[in-house]
Amino acid sequence: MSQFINRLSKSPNLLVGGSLASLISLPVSLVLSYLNENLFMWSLLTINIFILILLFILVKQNSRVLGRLDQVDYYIFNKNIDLEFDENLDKYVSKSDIILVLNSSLTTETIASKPFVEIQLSYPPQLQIDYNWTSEQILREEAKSDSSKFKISLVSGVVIIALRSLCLEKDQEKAFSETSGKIQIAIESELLSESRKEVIPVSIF
Amino acid sequence: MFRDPLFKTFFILRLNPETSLISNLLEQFISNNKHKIKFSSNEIANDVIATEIVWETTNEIESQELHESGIIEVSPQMIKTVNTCYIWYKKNSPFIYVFSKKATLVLEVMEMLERYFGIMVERVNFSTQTFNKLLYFSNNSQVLQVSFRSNNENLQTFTISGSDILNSETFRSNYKEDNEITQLTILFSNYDDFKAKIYKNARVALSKIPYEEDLILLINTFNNLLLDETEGLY
Repeated sequence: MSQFINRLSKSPNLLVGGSLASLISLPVSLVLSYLNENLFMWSLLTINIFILILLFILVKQNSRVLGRLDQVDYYIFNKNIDLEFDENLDKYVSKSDIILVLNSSLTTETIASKPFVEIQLSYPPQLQIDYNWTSEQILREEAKSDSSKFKISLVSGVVIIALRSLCLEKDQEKAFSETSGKIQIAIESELLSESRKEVIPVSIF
Repeated sequence: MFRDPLFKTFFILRLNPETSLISNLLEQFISNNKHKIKFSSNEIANDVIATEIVWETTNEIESQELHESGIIEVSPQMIKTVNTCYIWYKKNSPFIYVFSKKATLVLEVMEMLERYFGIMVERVNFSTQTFNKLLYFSNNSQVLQVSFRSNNENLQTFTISGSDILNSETFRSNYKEDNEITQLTILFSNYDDFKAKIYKNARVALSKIPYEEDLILLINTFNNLLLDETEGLY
């Protein structure tokens, strides 16, 4: 039975047609069965209620009826980095971190296809960044002085990457100011309709 | 000379009330066994005088050498470094502005001013009153970030940042509770857009090398602001 319902729920045409039919015929059959006490009308109402119950089960079985439920959202906390001169360390340091949060809610079917997200960070090579992450889902694929690439295999839940201890050596200030002075974050995934780009400006004080 | 990264940070100092205001240009070359200093001044704008101070300091470090016999020979070596600072001041104003990245160099400048010119200066600390005025003082500026230290016994620190924070509920509720402001970041847009971080210890750090006009404007602003507050003291 469950398999049968599962198969039914996978065909959206049936569901849309069925729900439309039941929506229209319910008031019609109710009104008609009150007007003339006909056995045919009563049976129509019974069938109608049966279809409604079936639809309810189908919707519960697979919530994809209501649209794609695969959702991948990302948040970047701190979109402005100020490097301040620290006399004790004799270099420019940032007092705040950048935190990347990836929030995904996926259907079991999508998880089975092993989706992933690629995050590419690029920044001026003078900038030093420490990366912190704890999840086993995250794999660092590339680590250069001016870029990093992360591959994150998705399951439902939250994944966090923190960019900490951002700093710049004192004598690199001039070289840094000749670059774009920005951290660029590109997020790519088959679950996102297009690749997203975020830019975090870095200013030196 | 002017597009120098040195101009990105300055400290505000105040003349000791017992010291008379600086009215003449500081111009001198001093060379003795301890110091070698060159002061040179010029008037860069109406009433604003810039003095360049270049001085040589000698540091002694120990250099070690290992000989075949296993004896380590220690010999002192002299290392000379030359530092540059600018001080700006307005005629008839008790405030002077020292352009330097490091507070330790400012202390050296304070010592030199006292020793060779008899000018006694002291550090300024911005009060919450000063910060309050800075929050709302101009149309050409926008507050980007405010750091607070809480008024309760925990002395928590927290920072609010974003656009248009002065109209935000978070800012209003924290401002009301009499929390002490410790740091401000303001975006100035006069001749050029630049951000300024203003710290409680009267240190101002700019995000770009400023244009001379902007800097003079900024210094005039601080001067008027601080003079207002200390009215009656001088």
